[in-house]
Amino acid sequence: MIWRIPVPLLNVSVFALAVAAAPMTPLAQPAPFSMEPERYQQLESGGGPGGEVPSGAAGREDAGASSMTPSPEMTAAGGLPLPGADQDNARHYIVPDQQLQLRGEIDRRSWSVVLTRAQAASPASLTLGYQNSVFVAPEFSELSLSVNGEPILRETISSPDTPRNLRAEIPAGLLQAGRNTFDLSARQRHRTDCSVESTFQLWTDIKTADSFLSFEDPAANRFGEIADLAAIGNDPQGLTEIVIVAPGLDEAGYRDALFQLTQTIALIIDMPRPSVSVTSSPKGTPAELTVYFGTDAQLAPFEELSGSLGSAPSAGFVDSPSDGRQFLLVTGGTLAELEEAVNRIGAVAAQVNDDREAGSLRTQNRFAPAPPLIETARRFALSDVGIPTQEFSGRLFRAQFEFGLPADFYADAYGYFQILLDAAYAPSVRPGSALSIYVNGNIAANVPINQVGGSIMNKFPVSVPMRNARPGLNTVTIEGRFDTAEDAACAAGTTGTADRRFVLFDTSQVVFPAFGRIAQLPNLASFSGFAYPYSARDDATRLFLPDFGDLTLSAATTVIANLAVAAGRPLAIDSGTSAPITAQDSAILIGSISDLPSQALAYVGLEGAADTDWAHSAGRPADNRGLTLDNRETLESWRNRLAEEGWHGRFMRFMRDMQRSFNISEQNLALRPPAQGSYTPPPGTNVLVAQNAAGGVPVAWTVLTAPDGQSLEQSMDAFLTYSDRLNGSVSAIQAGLGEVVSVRHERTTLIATEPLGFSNLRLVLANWLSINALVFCMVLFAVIVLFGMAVSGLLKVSGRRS
Amino acid sequence: MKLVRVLLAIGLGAAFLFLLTLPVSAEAQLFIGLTIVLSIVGLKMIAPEGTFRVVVIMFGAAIVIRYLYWRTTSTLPPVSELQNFVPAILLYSAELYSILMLGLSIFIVSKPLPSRAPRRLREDEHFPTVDVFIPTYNEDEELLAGTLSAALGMEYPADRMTVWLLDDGGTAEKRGAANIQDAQAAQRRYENLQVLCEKLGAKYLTRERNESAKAGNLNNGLTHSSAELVVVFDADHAPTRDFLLETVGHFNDDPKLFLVQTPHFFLNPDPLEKNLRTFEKMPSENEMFYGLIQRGLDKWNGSFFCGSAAVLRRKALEETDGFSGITITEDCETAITLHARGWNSLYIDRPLIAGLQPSTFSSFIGQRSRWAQGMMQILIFHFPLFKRGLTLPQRLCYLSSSLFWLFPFSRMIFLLAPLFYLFLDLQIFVASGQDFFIYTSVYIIVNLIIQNYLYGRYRWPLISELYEYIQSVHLLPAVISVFFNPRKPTFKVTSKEVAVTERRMSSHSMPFFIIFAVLLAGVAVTLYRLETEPYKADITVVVGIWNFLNLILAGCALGVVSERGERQATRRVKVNRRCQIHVGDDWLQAAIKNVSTQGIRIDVIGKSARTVSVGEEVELRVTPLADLPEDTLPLTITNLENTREGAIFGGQYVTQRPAHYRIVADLVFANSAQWSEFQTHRRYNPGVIGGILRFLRMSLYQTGRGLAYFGAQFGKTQGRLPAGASREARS
Repeated sequence: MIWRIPVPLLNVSVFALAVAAAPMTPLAQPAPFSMEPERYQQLESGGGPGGEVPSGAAGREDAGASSMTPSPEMTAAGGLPLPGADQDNARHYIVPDQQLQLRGEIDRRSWSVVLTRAQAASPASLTLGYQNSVFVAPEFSELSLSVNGEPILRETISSPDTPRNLRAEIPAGLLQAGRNTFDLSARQRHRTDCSVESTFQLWTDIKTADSFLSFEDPAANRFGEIADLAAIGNDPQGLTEIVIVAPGLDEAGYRDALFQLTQTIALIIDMPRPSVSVTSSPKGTPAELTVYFGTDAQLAPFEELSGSLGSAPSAGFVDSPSDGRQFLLVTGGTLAELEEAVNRIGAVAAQVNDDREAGSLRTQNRFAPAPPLIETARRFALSDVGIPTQEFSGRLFRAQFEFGLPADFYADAYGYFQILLDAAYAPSVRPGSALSIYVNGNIAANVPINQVGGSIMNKFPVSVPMRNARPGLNTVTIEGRFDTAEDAACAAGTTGTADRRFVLFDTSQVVFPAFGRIAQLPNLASFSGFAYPYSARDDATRLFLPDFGDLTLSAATTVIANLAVAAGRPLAIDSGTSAPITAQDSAILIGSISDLPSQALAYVGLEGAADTDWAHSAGRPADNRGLTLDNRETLESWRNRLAEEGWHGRFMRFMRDMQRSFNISEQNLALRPPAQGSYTPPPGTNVLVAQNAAGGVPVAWTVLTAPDGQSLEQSMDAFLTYSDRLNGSVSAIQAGLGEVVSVRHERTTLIATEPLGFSNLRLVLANWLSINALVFCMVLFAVIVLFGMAVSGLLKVSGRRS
Repeated sequence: MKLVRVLLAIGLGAAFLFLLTLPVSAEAQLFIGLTIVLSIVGLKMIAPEGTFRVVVIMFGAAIVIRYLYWRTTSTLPPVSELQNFVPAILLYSAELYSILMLGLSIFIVSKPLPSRAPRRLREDEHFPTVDVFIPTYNEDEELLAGTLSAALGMEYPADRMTVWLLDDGGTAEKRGAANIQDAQAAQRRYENLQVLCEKLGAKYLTRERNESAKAGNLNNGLTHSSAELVVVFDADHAPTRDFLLETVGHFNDDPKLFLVQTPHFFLNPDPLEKNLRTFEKMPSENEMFYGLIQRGLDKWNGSFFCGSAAVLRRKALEETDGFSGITITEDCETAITLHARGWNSLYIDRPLIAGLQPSTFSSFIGQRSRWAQGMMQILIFHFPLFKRGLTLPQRLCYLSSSLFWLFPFSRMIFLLAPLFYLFLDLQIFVASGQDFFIYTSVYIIVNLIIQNYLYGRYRWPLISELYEYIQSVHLLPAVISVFFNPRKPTFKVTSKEVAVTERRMSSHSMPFFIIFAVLLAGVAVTLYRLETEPYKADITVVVGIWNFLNLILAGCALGVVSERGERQATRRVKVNRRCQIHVGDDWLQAAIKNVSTQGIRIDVIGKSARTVSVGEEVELRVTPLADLPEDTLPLTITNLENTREGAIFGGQYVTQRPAHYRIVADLVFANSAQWSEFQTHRRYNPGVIGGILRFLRMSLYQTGRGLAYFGAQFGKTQGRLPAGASREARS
C-alpha cells in the first residue's frame, strides 16, 4: 500500500511549493515512507550497517545522555511482535501514532506515555528506531529524546540507507506510574543546499514498531487492576486493538451492555486510536486486550475460562491457562449481573476521568502538555503549550502548538486571536524574510520582515484569523523564513554553520478574545471532537445497525468507543428498540450504504451517493486516480513561481494575496441557500460520514457508511486516523490520499448551548452576518434608512421649524 | 408625540450602532462598503432634500463609524513600540478630531433652516430707535466717508436713527503718544474725522484710553447712546439702503431676541481667490459659513454675532454690561454669554452689507490668527459643552465653532504623518494592504461624496483642505501660544486695503516653499524605496500616494502665497442703472455698466462723448434712490473706448465733498439684490470628480507659477527683503 499521511500540521501551500520544486513527482515522493513488508525483510537481511557507533556520540555523554549501544537484533525484530515471546511481553511501544516524522530544520513532538506502577518500577531501556532522508547532513543534525524532562538520547542523524535503532538505558526512578512525558526533537541541516525549499527534503521517520520501552521485569506489562488498562499502550501500527469475545449478542440488552463496556474501556485506555473488534469466538491473532463478555452460560464453551466463571457479577483479569496471556473477563449470571459487572468498570472509568485536568483538551496522550481548551477569553504563554525559547540558525523555522475549541465554537467567519510575539532576528536576516502563522495547515497571517539590521520584537501583535479553526483540536504553526546573504552564496560545507539568526521566546503570548458560542448542526467537527450533540443529552442515542454480524458490530463499537472518548463519558446507546427513529431522536446509523434505509440517506443528503459507482465498488480496491498531479495545487505552484520576480511578479503576488485574503464565496452572496445538489463521493473514498439535524434541539442523525460491511470494518483504521479532520455536514475520508474532503451543509441550524447574553449574541451575530454578508447589507440598509427617517422626523420637531 | 419620535430614534440609533460595531469579517466589510457607496451615489443623483437628505447623511455616518471602529480596534501599534506608538496616537487623535468635527457639522447642517421669508418693517409698525456704531481704528478717511455715507443712506426715519463713528485712532491716549509723529497723526485724524462726521450728519465719538480694544470702543458707544437697538458695521462694511427695514422688524416679533446677524459679503477677493483667480467662478470661503452653517446654527437658535452687519438689542447688552472683552473675539463671546442667559438670535440669509476683506496673504493670516486665538480663548474661558444656560444643541453649536480652530494641529499631522514612514521608517498605521484598501478607501470616498453632498454648492472638493493648509502653517504657533498664555493675545486690527500693484512673494511664503521641498523629497524617497525595497512596495505605494496628495495641496498653496499684481483695487459690481454725463454743454444719456467704491464704467450715447480725453474731468448725474441733497458727482476719465453710438467711459470718482460719498454709496450699495445675484452665479456644484479634476489642474498650474515667482524673486533680490514687506509691516 502506498500511502501518504500528511501530518495535520503540514502547511499545504508550502508543501505544494516543495512538490513543485523537487525533481520528483508526488507519486515518487512518498516512497521513503513506504511500509511494504518486503522492504523490512530486505533490511533484516542487511542488518549490519546500522550497527556502527556514530562518531561524536561519546563526546556528548556529559550532556546527560545515557550510554547507548546499537542493537542490530532489535532492528531484526522490527516487524510484528511475535505472540507469546517473553521479550514482547515486556515491550511498551512509545509512539502513539502510525507514523511519526520529524520534518524540516527544526521539529519537536511531545506526548505522554502512561505506565503502570510495575512498569515504572522495573529497570528499563529504550529503543528508538529511525531512518532519515539522504539529504540530512549528519555532522549538523541531531535527534534527541528526553523523558520527563531528562535527556535520554542525543545522537547525530546518520542513517539514510537503513533504519537504525538507538538504545538507551533509562535511569532508575525516572519513569513514574501514570503519565510520562516524551519529548522528541530533531535539528536537521541539508548536506548541500541552503535554500528554504531544500529544507522540505529533510525528514527523519521514527519507526513506531522499533521504538519502545523494554522492561527487565517480564511481568511489568501485566495488569493488576482495571485502572492499569490506562497503560495499555498501542501496537506497532499505533492502534490499540481490543478484541471482545461475546457469543450472545443477538439480544438487544446484551448489545447495549457491550456498547457500555467498550465505551468505559476506551475511556480508561484513553489512547488515540482504540480499535474494537467483536467476535463470537476468539481468533488466533493476539491483541492488546482481549475481553470475554457474556453470562457464565454464554462463556462456558471457552475452555480457557474454565475455572474463572461463576454466577456472580465479576470484572477482572484472568490468565489464560494455555499461554499465560491475560484477558479481561466480564461476566455474571444474568443480564442484570452482567450490567452490574460493566458498571464496576464504569466506576473505574469515572474515577480515572475525574483526574483529568480541567481547561485542557483531551487528546488521549497525543500531546504533552495537554492543549488548552479555549472556552472564553484566555491568554497563555508559549511555554504553557510546550514551546521553549529556541534560537535558530537555519532557513525555515517552525514551532507548533495545539489548542482546543469547544463544540459550540462559532467564530470562524470573523474571529481573530492574537499572538504577541517576543522574538528577535539578527542583522544578517535580509528584508523579504517573513514570519507566518498557519492554522490547521492554512496560512492565516504573515509578518514581513522589513527592518534592515535586525530587530527585537517585544510583544509584537499578530492577528490571526480563525477562519480555519474548528471545534476540537487545532494546530498553530509559527513559521519563519529567513533569507540571508550567506545562504544566497551557500559556500560548500556551510549549510549548518550559520550564525544564530532568530530567536523565539517562550514568553510570547497567545491571546484569545471572547468569541461567539453557539452550536451548529450539522457539524461533523464537533461530532468528532466532542461527540456533539450526542454528548449534550442524557437520553439514549438510537443506534441503527442493519445487522448484528461481527463486522457491523466491530465497526459500531469502534465508532461508539471513540465517541465516548470524545465526549469524555459513556453515551447511553439503544440498539434494540423497534420503534421507528424520528427526526426528534438522536441517532447514529452505521452500515454499508446498500443496507441503510433510503430515507435516512436522503435525510443526511446521501441519497445520490447510493447510486454512484462508489456504492457499487465493494470488493474493488480504492480508486486512487486522485493521486495524479492535483490541478489546483499545480496552478497554485505556478502562481507562486510567477509571483517571484520583478514588477510583474509584484503584481501577480498582489493579485494572489488579494484572492487569498478575500475569501469570498458564493455563500457570502446567497440570500437563500441553494437546493442541495446530489452528493457524489470523491474518488478514493473509504468512509463517508454525514450528518443532519432537525433544528431547535441538540439532536442529529449521523450516518457512517462504506460500500459494504467488509470495507466498512476495514475502513475503521482510516476513520480512527482521520476522525479529527471531519468537518461540515458530509465528510469523505480518502485514506489512500491522506485527505478528508468535507462539504458544508448550506442550511445549518444554530442551537444555543448557554443562555444567550448580549455579548455572546453580538459575537454570534457577527459570525452569522459575516457568513451571510448580503443579508447583513440588507439589514443594515434598512436600519440606516429607518434611522435616517427617524432622525429626520425628530429634527423636524426639534429646534426651529422652517 | 415627540417622545415617541425620540424613543424611536433612540431605538433605531442603538440598532444602527450595534450593527456597525459588530466585528464582522473583512469580506463582509467589503460588501457593506460597496452597498453604502452605491446607496449614497444613487441617492445623491436624485439629490433628495428633506427626509432623504438625513438618510444620505446616515449612510455616510455608517461608513465613518465602521472606519472608526476598525481604526480603533485594529490599527494602532503596541505601546511597547514607543517610537511608533507616539506618532500613531497623534495621527489617531487628528483623525478622531476630524471625525468629531464631521459629526458636529453634520448635526448642525443636517437640516438647515431655509432662507427666511423677507420680514420687512411695515409702515404702521413700531419703529424702534437705532444707534448705528461704526468702530474704527486706523481706516482712512475716504473709506470711512463711504461707510458713513452708506449708513446714513439707509431707509429709516431720520429722527429714529443715529450714526456713530467710534474712533479708536483718535483717543486721548493716541493723541498724547510718546512718539511725536504718531501723536500728530492721531490729532490730525481726530480733527478731520470730526469735520467729516459733522458734514455728513453722523456723530463722532472717541474716548480716553484704548482699553479692551473693539469691545471697549463699542461699550463706550453704548454709554454715550440710548437707542433701543444697536447696529454694528465694521468701518469697511457698507450697508444697503434696506438693511434696517429687513432686520428691525424681527425685534418687534420676539422680545427675547438679542441679535439679528446678516452675512458678510465681500466686494474684493481674498488672497487665495485673487492669486488663484477663482473669485468670479468659485464660491468664496465664507459662503459655506454664511450660506449654510449659520442657517444650520439658526435652526438650533445658535447663530452668533460676527462682529459686524448685525443688529443687537440694548436691553440684552445691558444685562452683561455691554460687549464682552475677555477674549479677542468679543462678538462670539457676547453671543455665547447672551445665549446662555436665555436670549435668542436669528440669522438672515441675504447679504445686506458689502465690505472688504484682507487682500494680501499676510493680512489674511493676521485676521485668521485673531479668530483662531479668540476662539481658543472661548474654548478655555467659556468651554461650550459645559456652559450653563445653553441648550444642548447650542452647546454643540458653539463647540463646533470653537473646536474648528484646532484644525492646524490635524492638518499639520496629516501633512507630516507619511513622512514618518518615508523618512524614518516608522510604522504608525498598522494594517494589511487589503484591510487598508477596504476600510480606508471607502472611508475617503464616502467622505468626499458626503462633503460634496452637504456643501457642494458652497464649497468645492479639496478647497477646504487648501484653506486649512495655507492657514495652518502660521496658525499653529498662534493657537499653541494661547494654551500657554490664554490672556496674552491682544486684538490686532486687520488691515484690508493693502493694494498689491506688482507681483511678488508674500512675506509669509517661505515656510510653504520649505514644506513643498520636503514633500518633494518625500516623493523622491518613495521612488527610491520602491526600487530598493520591493518587498514592502505595498506600504510604500499607499504612503507615497498620501504624501503625493499632500504635495498637490502644498503645490497649490505656492500659488496662494505668490501675490499677483492687481489692476483694480476694489471689486466692481455689475449694475443696471440710467445716468447722465455732462460733456461740453450737453447732458448725454448713459447706462452704468458697473461700479465700485472707487470708480465707474459707463456706456454713453452720443458722438460728442468721443471728444472727451483721458484725464479730463466730467460730471455724472444720477437720480439717487435715497433722499440726497445733491445728485451730481465729478469723475476723472481713466480710459475711453469708442462704440457705434458713442463711447464707453472708465472713470474714477473725485469726491470733493461729503455729499459725493453719499452718491457713491447710493450707486454701489443701493441694491442688495445685485450682490445676491453675484453670489448665486458662483454657487453651483461641480461634482466630486469634476471638482477634483479642476483642483488638480489648478494645482499643477499654481505649482508652476509659485516656483516661477520664487525663481524670479530669488534672482531679483539676492537676499534682500521682499519688496512688499515694509509696506505690509503695519498689518
